[in-house]
Amino acid sequence: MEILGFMADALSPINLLLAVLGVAAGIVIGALPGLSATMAVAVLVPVTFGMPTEMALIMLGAIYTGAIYGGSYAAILINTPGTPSAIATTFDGYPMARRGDGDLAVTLSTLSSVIGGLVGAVALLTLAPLLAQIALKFGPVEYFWLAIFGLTMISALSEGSILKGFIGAGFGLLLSTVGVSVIGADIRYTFGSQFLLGGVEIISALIGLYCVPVLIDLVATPSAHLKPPEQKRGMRLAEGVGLMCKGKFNALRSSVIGVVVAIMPGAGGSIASLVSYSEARRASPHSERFGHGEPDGVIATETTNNAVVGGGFIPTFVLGIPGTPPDAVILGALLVQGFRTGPEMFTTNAQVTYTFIGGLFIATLVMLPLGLLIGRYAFKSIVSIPKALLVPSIAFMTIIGTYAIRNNPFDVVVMVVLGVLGWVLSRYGIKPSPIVLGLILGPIAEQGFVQGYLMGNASGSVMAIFFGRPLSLAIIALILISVAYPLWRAGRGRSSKEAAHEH
Amino acid sequence: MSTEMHSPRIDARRSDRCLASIMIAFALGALWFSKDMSIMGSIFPRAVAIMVLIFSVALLVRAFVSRPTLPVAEPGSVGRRLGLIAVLLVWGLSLRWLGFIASSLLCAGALVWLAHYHAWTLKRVMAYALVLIAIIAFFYTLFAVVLNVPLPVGDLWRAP
Amino acid sequence: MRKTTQLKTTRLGVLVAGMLTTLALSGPAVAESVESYPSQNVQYIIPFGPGGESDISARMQQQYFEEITSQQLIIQYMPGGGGAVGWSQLNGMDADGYTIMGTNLPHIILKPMGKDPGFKTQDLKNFFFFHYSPDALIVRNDSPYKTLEDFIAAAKEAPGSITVSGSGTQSANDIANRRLESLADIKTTYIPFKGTGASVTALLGGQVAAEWGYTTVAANHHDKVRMLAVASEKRHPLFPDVPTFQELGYDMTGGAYRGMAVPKDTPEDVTMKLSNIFSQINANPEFRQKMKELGFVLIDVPYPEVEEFMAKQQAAYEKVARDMGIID
Repeated sequence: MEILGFMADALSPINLLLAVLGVAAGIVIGALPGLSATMAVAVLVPVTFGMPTEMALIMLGAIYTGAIYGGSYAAILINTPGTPSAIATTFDGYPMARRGDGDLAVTLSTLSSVIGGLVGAVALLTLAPLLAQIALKFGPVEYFWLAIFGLTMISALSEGSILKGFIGAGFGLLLSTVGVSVIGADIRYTFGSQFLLGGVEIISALIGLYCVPVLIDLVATPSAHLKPPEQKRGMRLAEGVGLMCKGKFNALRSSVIGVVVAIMPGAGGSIASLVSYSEARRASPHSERFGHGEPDGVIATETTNNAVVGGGFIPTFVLGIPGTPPDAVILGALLVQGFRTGPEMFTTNAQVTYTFIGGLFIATLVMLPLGLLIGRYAFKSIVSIPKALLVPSIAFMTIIGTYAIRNNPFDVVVMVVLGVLGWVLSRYGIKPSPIVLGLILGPIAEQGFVQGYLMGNASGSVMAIFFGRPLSLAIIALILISVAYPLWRAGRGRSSKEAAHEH
Repeated sequence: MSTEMHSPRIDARRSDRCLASIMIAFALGALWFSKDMSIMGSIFPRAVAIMVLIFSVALLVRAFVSRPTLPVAEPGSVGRRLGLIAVLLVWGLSLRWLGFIASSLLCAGALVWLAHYHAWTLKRVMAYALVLIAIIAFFYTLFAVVLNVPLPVGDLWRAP
Repeated sequence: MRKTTQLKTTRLGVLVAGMLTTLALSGPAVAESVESYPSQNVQYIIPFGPGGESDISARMQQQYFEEITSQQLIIQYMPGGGGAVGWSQLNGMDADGYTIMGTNLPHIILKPMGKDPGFKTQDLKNFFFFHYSPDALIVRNDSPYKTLEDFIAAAKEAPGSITVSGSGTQSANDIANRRLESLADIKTTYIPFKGTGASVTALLGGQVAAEWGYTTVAANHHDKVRMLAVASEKRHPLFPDVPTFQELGYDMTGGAYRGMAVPKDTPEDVTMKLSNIFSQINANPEFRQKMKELGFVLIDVPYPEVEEFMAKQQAAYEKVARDMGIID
């Protein structure tokens, strides 16, 4: 019970205060498009130098948790993922907000984030060493197949024509190759511009592809951005709890997906939440409502991305390999503080580790009241601000946020150009999500493939490397199922179409 | 997807043909510019470009043999849309020269004017200007002071 | 700085001239007495993402910089293109001594040798090199290769069948591998990964037989990996049992050097002062101890010696690059 004692250390008044401050700051930073959780953590690192290690870690964990959750605000209210983990939250959160259920969506996202965060922290507390071993089993070939599996989600993400979805994904994959390549050190598709050397920055692409079209359509009509609620009401907490109870299996499945994907150092929160979104859609009896404001979609992605927080710490602490980019920053802060990761984290440094995990629990719980409070103000201010002020404010946030990602004014130009391109393409039926999916999965697929190919050449058989490893075969089976299932379902659905229409 | 079926749709044959042609050109371009890359660097973009090419050709064929449809796009003022795009582009391009504050005040001001559909009264102008300046000041402080982001000062204002 | 520039804006002539030179590099900074430097926070740009070795060693300096100057060293990230995005923009930044950027060897020498990455090695005004992490050939604890000889013998037996991971192509790791290949007359399969983190993961997971990394990697994962040899002149104090390549008869030393540069128009006296500040940090015993524990080797190359140091490195890497066929 020593562990519980260490965890209780996190409950001291000063630690609690730090957790509250961290979560609040995280929510605000995460809610701003462009300010990612990574940046929130990085900004805080120098502040923590003067603190005792436990306090520093509690505050870092709190700001990280808060930032991931805060990402959902921008996703729901202005269709812009505040952090990459919130991409899938836009799919249903924004339609909910447009039809006047923004408050409900924010409440659901709060409840889901708390649940996901708790599951992630429990996994970190109990299963860390075991799960870390799974992380190591993932080699280049597995990442390649994982990326292919990710691409099968196109069929779930592209509304309308799947053919156009694939073209969009191909466009995104090609965009991801711009810049200096990791393998081969080629300079690709930069056309002599030094600014394109660094490639298309993923967060600026997200802001452009999701937010700029909203702005473009926002100025075109005088009608309100979001439908205001009919009468004065709270944050619809009871309704939210009811929906959560109905969606408990969804929440549980999504949390598990979050933890599992998070422990793979090459994947991350964005992929985890996309996977759980498409799984939730597949499993739902109302899959046709997804993308049009289905509460289960918000529940799925928001539980997942907060489960990623705890899950990502597993390889970070056990192996010294950061699970997600913010973990990399926290790992750096740990090293500067003089801590070694690895088995010592659970033996000689156990006190620090368990106090930190305790802090993570507290930060997650603190998020509930704090999130509902801040969320209420965020919702109210977006609903009540006149359009003539809303448009420049959102535009301003996208511009400053994009610039701040890597202090590069050229990224702002890329963001705007991609946004306009995204808007034009969506008029032709290519939605932004497949493009984004391609952008995210491109590097994973490419590096996995070339590395796997090189490994195969060295061992004498490329086929054996790609098709001979048990884990690869398992992922290939998943791919086949996810391709075949919609076809089977469509076949079955046709015969019972009349029944479906009675909704 | 099924709800979209009920929303009004338009014939997409022409727009699909146009899209497919652009994408074919795009894929061919990607293939052409991969010619002096190393094998390791070019294998992936080439494979993807060929995929895009195949799908685009399929789309082109489909646009000739069947009658694809698209949901009707959101209506609204084309002029204001183009105006917003222009302002955003100017904003992005002028950051380096005008500096963050000047360029933001200018472009944010232009967007207020673009997004406003009612009559302007002096009171409203004053109120909006104040709120807008407050918003910009708040975020500027947050980024430049609290988060230490080195926002561009503007080449124009620097000594030669 | 900001105040003085705003004063200047009132002069129309300056404004017009400013417009004409908008695309040109920034002009010399407003004069400030060196004694009072630094009178505000210094921006320290790392041209890589957070969490890597460049970031960690900069974070170590950050603390002591504040102790010495009572100003903060603010770390910014400008990742992209393996550092090229940052380095190609350095000379366009404010040349007043309040912007410095981390530089890495051999990156800044090797990159401009291939295609144009937007900057030239000699355009970077390095003012201090503060440490290096020696190259090391690393295997898992349970690896059948107990010594470097085992590894080389295995590679001779089946050319190309041994896989070695490393960070990037034409990088420090890639070069180390090619050098060993030519010195020992062996053939291996080098598999580039994105960053040292991913390449270590591949080693730990058994995806590859060995990894080209640094002493820092071995220090960080000391419970799971061991080094066959290090490419430093002397054995590393943290690993007295690991031989150097030279001891084993392979004449190779090298690694990743880290330094700092300023925009090229930064005044000489300010540059010199910066160099002094960082050599003071390097002299701090606590800093030295922490860096040693992480596996770094501290070196002192102050501003006056940088030119000579760079010339030596340039010559060495040019030879390697010629052997590798990057240049002819």
